[in-house]
Amino acid sequence: MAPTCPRPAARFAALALLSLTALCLPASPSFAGDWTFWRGPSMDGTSDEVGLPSAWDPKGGEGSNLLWKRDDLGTRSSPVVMGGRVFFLARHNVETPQEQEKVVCLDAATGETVWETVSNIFLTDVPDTRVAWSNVTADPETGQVYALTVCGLFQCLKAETGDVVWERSMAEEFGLLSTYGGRTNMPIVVDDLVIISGVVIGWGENAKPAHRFLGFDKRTGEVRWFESTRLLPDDTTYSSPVLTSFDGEPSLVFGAGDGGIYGFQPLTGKRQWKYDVSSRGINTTPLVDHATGMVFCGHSEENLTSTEMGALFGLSGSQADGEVSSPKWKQEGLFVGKSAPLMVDGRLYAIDDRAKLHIVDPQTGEVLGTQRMGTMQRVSPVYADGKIYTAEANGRIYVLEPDGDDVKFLCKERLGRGEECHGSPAIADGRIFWPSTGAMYCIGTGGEAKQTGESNLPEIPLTASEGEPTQLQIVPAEKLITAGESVGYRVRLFNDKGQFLREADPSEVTFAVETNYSTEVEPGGAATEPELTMSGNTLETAAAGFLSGTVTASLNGSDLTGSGRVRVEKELDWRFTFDDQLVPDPWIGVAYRMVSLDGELLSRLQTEDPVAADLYIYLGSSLINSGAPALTFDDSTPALKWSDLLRFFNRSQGAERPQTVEASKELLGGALDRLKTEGVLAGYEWSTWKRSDADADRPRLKVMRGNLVTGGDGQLVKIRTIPKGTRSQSWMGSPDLSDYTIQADVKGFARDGKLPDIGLINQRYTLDLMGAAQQLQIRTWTPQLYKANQTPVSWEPNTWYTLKFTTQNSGDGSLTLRGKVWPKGDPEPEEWTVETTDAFPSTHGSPGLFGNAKDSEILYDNISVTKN
Amino acid sequence: MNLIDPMRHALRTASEPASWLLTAGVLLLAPIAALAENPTEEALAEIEAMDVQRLDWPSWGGWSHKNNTPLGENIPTEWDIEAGENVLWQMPLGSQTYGNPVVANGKAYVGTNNHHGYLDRYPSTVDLGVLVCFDAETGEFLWQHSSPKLPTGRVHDWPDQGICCAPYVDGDRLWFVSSRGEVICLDAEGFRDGENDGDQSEVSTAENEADVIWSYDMMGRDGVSQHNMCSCSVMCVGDTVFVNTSNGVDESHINIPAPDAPSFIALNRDTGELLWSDKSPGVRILHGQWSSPSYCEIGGRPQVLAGLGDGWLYSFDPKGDGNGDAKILWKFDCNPKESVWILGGRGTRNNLIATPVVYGDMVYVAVGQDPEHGEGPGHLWCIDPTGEGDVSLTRVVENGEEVMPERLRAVEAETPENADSGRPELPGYYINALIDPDTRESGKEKLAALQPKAGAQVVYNENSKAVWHYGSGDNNGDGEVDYEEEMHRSCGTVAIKDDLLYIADFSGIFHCLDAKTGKPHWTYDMFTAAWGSPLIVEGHVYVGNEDGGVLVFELDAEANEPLVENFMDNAVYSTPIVANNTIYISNKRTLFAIREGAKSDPAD
Repeated sequence: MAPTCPRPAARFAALALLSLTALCLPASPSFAGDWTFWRGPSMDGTSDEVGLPSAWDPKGGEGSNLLWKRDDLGTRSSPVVMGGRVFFLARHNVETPQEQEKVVCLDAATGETVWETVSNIFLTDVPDTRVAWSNVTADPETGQVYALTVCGLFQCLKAETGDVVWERSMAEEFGLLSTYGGRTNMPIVVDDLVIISGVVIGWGENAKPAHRFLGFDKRTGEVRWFESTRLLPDDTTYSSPVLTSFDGEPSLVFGAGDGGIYGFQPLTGKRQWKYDVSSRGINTTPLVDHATGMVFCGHSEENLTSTEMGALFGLSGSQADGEVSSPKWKQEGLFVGKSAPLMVDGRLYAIDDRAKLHIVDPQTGEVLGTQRMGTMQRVSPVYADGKIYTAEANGRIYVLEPDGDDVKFLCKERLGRGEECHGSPAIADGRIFWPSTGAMYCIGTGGEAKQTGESNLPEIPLTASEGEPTQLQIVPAEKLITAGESVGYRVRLFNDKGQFLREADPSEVTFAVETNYSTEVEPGGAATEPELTMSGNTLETAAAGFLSGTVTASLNGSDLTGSGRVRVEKELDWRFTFDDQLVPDPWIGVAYRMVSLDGELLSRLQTEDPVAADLYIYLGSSLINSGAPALTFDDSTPALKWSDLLRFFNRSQGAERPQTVEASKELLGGALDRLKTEGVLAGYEWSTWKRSDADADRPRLKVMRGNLVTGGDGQLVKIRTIPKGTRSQSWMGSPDLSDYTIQADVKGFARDGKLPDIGLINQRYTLDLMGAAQQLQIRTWTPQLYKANQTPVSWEPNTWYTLKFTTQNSGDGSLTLRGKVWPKGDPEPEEWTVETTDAFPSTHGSPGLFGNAKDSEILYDNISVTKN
Repeated sequence: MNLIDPMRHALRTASEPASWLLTAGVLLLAPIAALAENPTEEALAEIEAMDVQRLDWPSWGGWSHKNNTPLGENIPTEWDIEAGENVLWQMPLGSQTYGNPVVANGKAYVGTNNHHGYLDRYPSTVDLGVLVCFDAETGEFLWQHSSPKLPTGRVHDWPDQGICCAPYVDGDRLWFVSSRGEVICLDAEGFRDGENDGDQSEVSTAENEADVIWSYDMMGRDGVSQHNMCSCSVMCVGDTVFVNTSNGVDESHINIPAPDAPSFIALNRDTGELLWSDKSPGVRILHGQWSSPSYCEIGGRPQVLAGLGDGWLYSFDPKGDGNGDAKILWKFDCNPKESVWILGGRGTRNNLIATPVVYGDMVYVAVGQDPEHGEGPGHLWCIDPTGEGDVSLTRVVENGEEVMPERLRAVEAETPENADSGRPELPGYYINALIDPDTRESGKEKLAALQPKAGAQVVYNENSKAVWHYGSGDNNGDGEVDYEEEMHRSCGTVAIKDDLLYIADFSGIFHCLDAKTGKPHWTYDMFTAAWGSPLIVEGHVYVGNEDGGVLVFELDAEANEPLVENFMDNAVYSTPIVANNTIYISNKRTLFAIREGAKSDPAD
């Protein structure tokens, strides 16, 4: 069959085609040959398709087995196939000012576009070539597809039309990090859930970063569970979960950003086991041999047990429980850090990051054979019809035939220069869909599709008809509501295997709510503290404030309980003065990165005793974030806390470093006394320590917490002392807000002459008062300033300014953005400092803050958000 | 069109080196031919003048020309690290080792991370940048300098990458750049001499700790914001130490947070006092800056050569301008003006990560990128360093006026209709310097199809000092430019002897060229990436690769197959060196000393 390169003339033509096609399709199309998850129907990269080509030529032509090619749809995303349609993510309007991200649906037979659902790229550092990294997951039961965009829009779309069924803005609602470099995880559908993960820097107990997982009701987008791996992981990762069951217990197996391999109960999120293998994140998707319960995975980072990097290992998921201390076998030094292993006829095929294919004995881990395939590997191989299909990252494509401890190369070709392969092929209905950054290829012999009907995936027993409930899940597990709204809670009961038993009748359950945080934000309003109340299973929020709370449910007559978290925002307008000395708990990404300090004291100290002012910031933030009543600073531990404190004062090196208690007192004694006098510290003590008898006495300082905030003029301080997150974004309310103005008083410090960048977020755009660049900029996608505009602004440290940022949606679909800055207290200037319009705008989004405090601190005060 | 004629001129001259040199008015052919270069003897003479031992290799590249051609006798071509055959010693390093070993005054130094954990106060779970000092003869661990990770995280200081540069050692002092963005001068003895010299602020003065003489914080004092890692193998000339600051982009990969911070600085090597600085690349830095400087005196003119972040090679007067700023002697754009900066394999614009090498009267440098960006097209240049001002091959004019090329894409070139869906095509004149007449014709067609848009034009630079260019070409005449006929991105530095130039690229192709003409003798596909650079010693050429192989070739224009491949257990990202008739080479986690006839027990 001659290849064709269909190029739909316009999106509208494609939509017209869609409406015809849609009529011919059953409501929930599900064919035997579907490939609805990127690792295939058995979640192990294999398919029962037969009659597939042994070779193909990307150039096309007679005998090339290239059925069609879309060179306008190059992507990193791995395609999935459902009901004769191919779904994946791709860049839209590539390298143009209108660049966006899209979910694409193609006709599998012709490659023609059925629909595209396009969304904006906003508030992200992801470079353009890393856009559309995740994979779509399709669900035959609902006829829906799920996709996560690089900036964290989690979308549920109708497979037939691309219409949005529901959408969650994972960054604005939960604090999902739009990653450094674009690594984006992918959804998985389990029963009536769709599960997604990423590094989340949220609110309350989720304020510190961790790789967290959320299970959503796949029909409604309601949160069913929200679980965390270890705090403060080093990496964002894209190891995708796979579903299996170990001895009848359903399990979701994945690698996490904290360097662990986990088994979670898919319906409850309860951790079953964990194997800590690396200090760095795991990007390899595990392979589960469902028949034996063995889990095979790898990584290409540091091992915890030696200086050898990289590993391939096998552990028994069936026997895993709690902390797995050692796997069944582990081959250190194999860099299987990106590509998922594959099992064919009792041999493991694992391609390392340098594109060396290792054929491994799954019982022992012994490497039986190795083949060189190139220099870099990202693609996970797939297997069907006796052949392994894979591609090397720099565009070398392969069809391999297993041959004992070796492989035969049936096909070895090169894609065009510069074409990269990140996404993995999908096999469905006699066709192989093969992504590269240059094109989406469809390969096949053109013959009739055939399947053997064999599947490696066993029936996963997700429900049980009887048995005692041992787990209670309260739904919604996490919710943001507007004051005045009420929420009806439900309770789902599970057995100890995490199998769903039944939904509890409200009469069986006692509900309660605890208000954790409450603030009145009515301008000039009374200082009342509204509370959350529970009436039966209904949460009620009459008061007009910002609140957060914990809702608990207990099954009557048992000790089974479960809890969920709720945030309440009032309707606009808002004004925050921070005079309650608290960081607003319901805000996303603020606690831990910012502390509330006494602004009046801070500015007084800055004038009278600058060392005391700096010490107030340093010790105040350390005490608040640690929660400890006292802290000790010395260099006896690798954290070198004393050196770190001195570094804050630029006194850690050289002749100016105090080496004795006497010299240290000279530097800090007065400031410590001042903080004690002000009541910030209850006290402090000097002592000495030494590493060995030969060593000199070294200073040690212990400080006792006092009243860290004493006055009524609270201010938010974005601190520069916490690891990770000194440059960050935060959000203070619903992403559905639009047409509003955000205003704040801001002040930047200067350290080594360097100023911070201070920003406000409005409707998914940033207004940034930039320190080094000395300009006021409006932007939405940091690396691509297509939609940006900026005006030079000279501004100084230690001076309060007022920043104001407003958005206005206009009738023609465009958005006008305006920002201004003026010295606080001066009359507001009539002119806007910077303005821009966006013809393809984000039409709504949460108000928030941006700050880059890597070099020096930022103060925020009097933040208001008002409806236009 | 104005474009065509100069380009044809460039094309013709590029394909015929002799006429190129004549028409370009360079007339350097005769002097080149008359000089019998012996870089080994030159290196020896320079090292002998230092306060180190005669057969030491005391800095990255060993000496100012950075040509890795040491003197050695009885250097083994084969060894066995498992059996310990020809292995004098092997010592554990961290889990990732990118700093290259150097040897001076009986000590071997290497940059790595802390995953081995030599110091009790820093267990192996604490991530640090680490410079380790061993006894060069016995391998005994002597002392370690430790750089805690920056709290700002990976944007400035990527986890687990350690110290990525090599120190410069002279007498009882050494200089290096830390992962915290500091230039540091240490006492070569550490605290083993029982004295705390210079700076007294060390946290520990135990004998296995480093004794700091002075440190210069480029982040704090100059506002430098390095991208992911600060690394430069510094070089001293006289009492001056020259440093590439690493200033680069931020998390967005596009914004330069510190455009006014210097890219290149000169410090007094005894005091750390700033002598002069240069911030020429500024907002035109493409990514980071990790190229190390070299130095030469040609035609009586001393010059420091620095590959900076805009992809230009700069020649600085080592004395600066006398007012604290740089004096630029000449500069050369190593990227085609039509190239474009795209993250990934489609990008045709590149960085300079390699170190410029001086051989005879010429300078050689290849372009490349952070290996994380994947494979891509590269270029290797031979440049005559006697020019003034902009000596690039081409320049950009618009309406007859010279224009400053843009950062990410100097001119907008149209892509031909039939171009691959992958990488944007480059004009035909960037095919190899030496091509057969047929290819030249097709090159002309490509050129015709690539009329720049929007008024900006690329024209031949009459001031050019390009001698030859090696990119890609149909060398075997089969009508196609094969993968093996392409110079790919490289972070490797050339080594040249007997007019044979060797360089490995990131795609795993090992190239052997005629250094005088740029004509390829052969290429060899290692089927694995190479990050490091070759060593030429005693008639053999050594090169390491990511699979952990160290290949050894005969130094011969015909010797296009390795004599032997030694296996080093894991990736060799470093460059082998020879000092005192011993090869020093690191893989990711072990430093090996390899000497003929030695026998040792393998470490751990």
